[in-house]
Amino acid sequence: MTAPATPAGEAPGPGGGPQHWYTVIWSSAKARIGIVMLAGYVLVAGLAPLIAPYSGTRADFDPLLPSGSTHWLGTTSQGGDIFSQLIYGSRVSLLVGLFGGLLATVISLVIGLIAGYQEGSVADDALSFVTNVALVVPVLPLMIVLISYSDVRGLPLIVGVIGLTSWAGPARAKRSQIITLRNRDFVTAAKFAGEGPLWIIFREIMPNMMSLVAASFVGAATGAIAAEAGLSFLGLGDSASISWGTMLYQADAQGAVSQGLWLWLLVPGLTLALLITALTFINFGIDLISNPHLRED
Amino acid sequence: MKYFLRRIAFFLATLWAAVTLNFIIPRLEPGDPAEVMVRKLSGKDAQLDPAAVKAMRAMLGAPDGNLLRQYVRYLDALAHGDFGLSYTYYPYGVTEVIGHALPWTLALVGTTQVLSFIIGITLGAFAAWRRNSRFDSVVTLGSTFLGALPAFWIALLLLFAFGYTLGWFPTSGGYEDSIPGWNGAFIGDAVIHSILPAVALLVTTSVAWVLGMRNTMVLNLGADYIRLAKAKGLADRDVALRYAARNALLPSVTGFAIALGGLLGGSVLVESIFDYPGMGRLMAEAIGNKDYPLLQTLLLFIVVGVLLANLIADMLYGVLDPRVRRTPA
Amino acid sequence: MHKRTRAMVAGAACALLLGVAACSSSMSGQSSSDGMIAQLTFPAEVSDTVGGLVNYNPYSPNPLTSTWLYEPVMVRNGLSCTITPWLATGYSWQGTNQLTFTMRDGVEWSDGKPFTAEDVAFTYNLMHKYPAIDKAGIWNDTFGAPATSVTASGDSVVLTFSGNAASKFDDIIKQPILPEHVYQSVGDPSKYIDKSPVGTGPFKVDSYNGRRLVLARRPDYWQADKIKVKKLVLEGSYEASEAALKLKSGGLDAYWGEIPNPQKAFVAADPAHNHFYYAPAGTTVLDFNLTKAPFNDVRFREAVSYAINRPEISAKATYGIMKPASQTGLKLPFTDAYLPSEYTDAQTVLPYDAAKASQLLDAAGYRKGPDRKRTLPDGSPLNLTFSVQAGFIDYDAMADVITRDFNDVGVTTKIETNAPDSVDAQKKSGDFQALLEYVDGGCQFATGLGARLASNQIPTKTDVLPNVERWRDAATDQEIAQLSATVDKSAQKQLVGKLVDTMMTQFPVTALVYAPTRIIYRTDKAVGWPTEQDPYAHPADNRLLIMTHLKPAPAA
Repeated sequence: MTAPATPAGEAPGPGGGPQHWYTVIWSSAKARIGIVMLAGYVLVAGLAPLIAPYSGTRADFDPLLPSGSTHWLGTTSQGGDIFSQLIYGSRVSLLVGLFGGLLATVISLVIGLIAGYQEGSVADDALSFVTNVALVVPVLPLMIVLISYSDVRGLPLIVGVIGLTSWAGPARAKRSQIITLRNRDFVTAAKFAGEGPLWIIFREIMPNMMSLVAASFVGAATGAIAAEAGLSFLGLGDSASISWGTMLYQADAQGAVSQGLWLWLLVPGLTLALLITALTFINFGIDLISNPHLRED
Repeated sequence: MKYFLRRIAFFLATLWAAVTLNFIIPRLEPGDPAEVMVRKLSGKDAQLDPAAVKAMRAMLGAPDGNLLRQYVRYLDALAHGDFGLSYTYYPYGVTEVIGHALPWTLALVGTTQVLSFIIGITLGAFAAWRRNSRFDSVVTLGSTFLGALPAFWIALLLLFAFGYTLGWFPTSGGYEDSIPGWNGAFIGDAVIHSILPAVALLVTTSVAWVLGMRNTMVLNLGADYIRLAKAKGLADRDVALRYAARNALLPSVTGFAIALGGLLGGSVLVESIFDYPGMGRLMAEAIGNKDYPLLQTLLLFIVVGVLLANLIADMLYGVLDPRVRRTPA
Repeated sequence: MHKRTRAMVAGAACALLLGVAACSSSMSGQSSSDGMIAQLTFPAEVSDTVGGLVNYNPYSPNPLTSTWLYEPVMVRNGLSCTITPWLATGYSWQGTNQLTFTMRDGVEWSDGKPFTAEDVAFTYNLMHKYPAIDKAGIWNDTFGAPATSVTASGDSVVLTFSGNAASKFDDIIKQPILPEHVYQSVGDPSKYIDKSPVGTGPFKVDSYNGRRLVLARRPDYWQADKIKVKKLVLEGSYEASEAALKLKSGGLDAYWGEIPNPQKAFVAADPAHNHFYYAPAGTTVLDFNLTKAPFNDVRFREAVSYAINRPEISAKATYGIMKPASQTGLKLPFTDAYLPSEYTDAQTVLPYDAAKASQLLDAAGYRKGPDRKRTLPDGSPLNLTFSVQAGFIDYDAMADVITRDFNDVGVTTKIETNAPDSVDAQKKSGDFQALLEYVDGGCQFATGLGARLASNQIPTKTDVLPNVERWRDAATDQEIAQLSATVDKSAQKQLVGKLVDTMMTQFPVTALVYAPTRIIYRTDKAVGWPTEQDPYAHPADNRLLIMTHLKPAPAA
């Protein structure tokens, strides 16, 4: 075991000197796997036009072709190439993850930080109230309302809807995290040492928060990716682009199960699950920054 | 004391806000309950019969008066415990409809939640105790992957493999040809029907507990009092299970309380896929049919559940960690 | 459960020992030697999310069955339009404001009391007192003048209206007739929970366990000789995959919902016994909002009608089952009799001719810009947005093909998916450009095709009415008014011909493919289901009609 937990992000490494955050993350085998997987996804999404044999939205092939050399995973009932859809679908998931995650994180950070810092004040009461209400609002009906009242379509809307409906949980977590942090010994010690509140927040609390923020961003991105899939599975996704959720929706609605077209159903779910796994693995690495005890020996 | 009073005041204010939102949001959604009901009866590829719509409006007494008056009446009825008649199951009352669905969800979702909690906690504790062992890796990696699987997708695959292809389990409903009641035939029937949905729920919910428990316990194992216990010569196993696990359990229990509150809303997709006669499926139906009285009441159930669970968690937290109660000077 | 497991084991053992062909006959040998069918299983008629809420009241929105207990006065075949007398033996119109039914003699309610014309008059008059059950609009001004009185004398029932009410006929004959001696004392019938039904129908309730409704044949039914099914089970509200599985295993004998690709998902498993019959119910059409440019320009509508690849729509949205539809709005060849002589069936189905579409668009001034996208004649950009209902998977596929076809001829088009209720809201507000709709192919042209084109049927703020595209034409209105006021066939033909002309030359809506009604069934226990060769019943018709045609399958 190493020395007792140090307050800030720079935990002493085996050599005794401070470790950079990326070294800490990379030191975890799981995080390494996650990063490599995510890099793979990003690469595939970026190079989709080169990798995919056809355009993801092209649907003028014969319907229900079996898998073969021209269509590796066959075609859908509407005549789309399943493999190409799969490749292009990665773009939607990654974009939704990135921007949905960012939006939810920013909202939750602002609200959580203000509420937690001002704990007990009127501002805290108001913000906590809003957060609690947002936590119990029925998300699915709310999403349908937001989508049906919006004139814009496509990914920005999906990202916006997911961001607006998923910030409450993380905001609550951040608020309580900040509250416990400001009661930590190292903050008290800094206070006794005569440091000003700004210095305390930005030099003492923030470094501890960064890994939480990063972890919460990855978490929110994961949630956004899953939410997009769920929304699309209900048929409410962006119909102009192909995502794994829309693929699952069509496979299910066209009775892929009863027609025995299991590849159509299996593959999109699997790629989705692997992407989410990769993100969770990365989060293991991020956790190590604030919880040195979790490090693998 | 002030801390607890504040939490209760919060609870009531949030409850009011949530009840109001539950009233407004479904009504903001476009769509007319009477038209939706007639379309449901006639099917998609049919012209909406204006005469039938007129009759349906007369029957449901569909929204009259402006929204504000409806809202006041709604609050008044709520205060009297009057939830109205369901549109879908007209002329049955909402309470009766929910009364038929609730036991199914309590049995299915309640049991799986408790099971997944126990499984998750146990696996997590052992993984932390045998940290970095093969067991730890398998549990951590496995649960991460399982947790990443979308629940509705798991449900579809289970249905495909064990329902359609192998034919081991029934594919829909809560029971088949037995007579509901406390008899063996019915209970056996119901259990067989609940296995696939239960597995779908179990697989995806255990995971959160595994990882949470493992990480808290690893932190606890590094704490000073554990080292003290070890130094005093207590057996490794006792230390891990009696001291570290017990302390690590507390945050999980609070989390569990919150999760239980969300229990009713959490199974919409899985119940829908298996056509399970519970609250999740009922909720999907109420949304689809614009069954305002039923939907409002279901949402109220969920809101009260989540809020109560949060309130209890907050209070527990206050009791367990006195630092939280400290208000800044 | 036990029963089912055992049957499965038996089936597996049988297949191992004897081979599949030998087994299917022995497994299906459930027809007894008395010339009867022991049992048939149909899907539940209610969504059975919450079981155990018993109600047999046919006027409630969710009765356990609305088919087998209470009967209508007459049954119309929606395809051939022939009328089968049921509780009534005949009807006659005196002008178009008085309708007389002659009621059948010797019909008994299931509690032994005689059925009389009084019961019929009672039912129709109940609708006056309680508008909540007036589903036919007898007493209001929907599709004709309201009734002023309904009286019974002897075996006849006379409905008198304050004006022309010919178009209400199909709705009137459909209404289930209630027993006066039960329903006269229940108060508001829409709020009445009917737990012990007394009907004239071929079955009575045997048992209900909250999920499975078992109905038993009534030996004293008035046409009991035509009912060969001894036990009818209604069970489970299945979606497509589940229904396909149940049908294949014999757990279901017929299904009326949609199963995508029924040939592969069901028929292929046992072509000898598994069948489906999809008949056109009407026409799926592309609706442009005619109040907006460029859709108010008939030359634009005509041009793009040729840009649509209907065979591909048929293949991708309906697995090739529903055929490209005639632009006339008629279900051809079934209503050939109404087709004006200058047209032939084949020529009214518009061909896919992108070159012609481009040519017509050019000629009408919708020229291609340098980016190969067309503009309006005044040079402003042309962008078409297609509203599609989320979850309507066939509409999805159709919109996909049309969008591609339109973009191919330079008309920039994109799809916008909305919750179905949002699309309904757009229909009401008129805030849409293009969407998919349905033209009713019913037997009354005035309320089907006519209502699609009548200016008084344009959707309002509160109601989705049929004329979604907002076609407004005084001559058309006149023709429809005349059509709804005549019960004379040759006059009808002449007026329908005028509507057909409007469809063919003005393109108020663009026909795509026929919209289906479906029945999917197996013939191992019962034969005599409607088929393409013998369409005695339309799949959407009252199932009583089918029930009276079912006979035990011949022993193999």
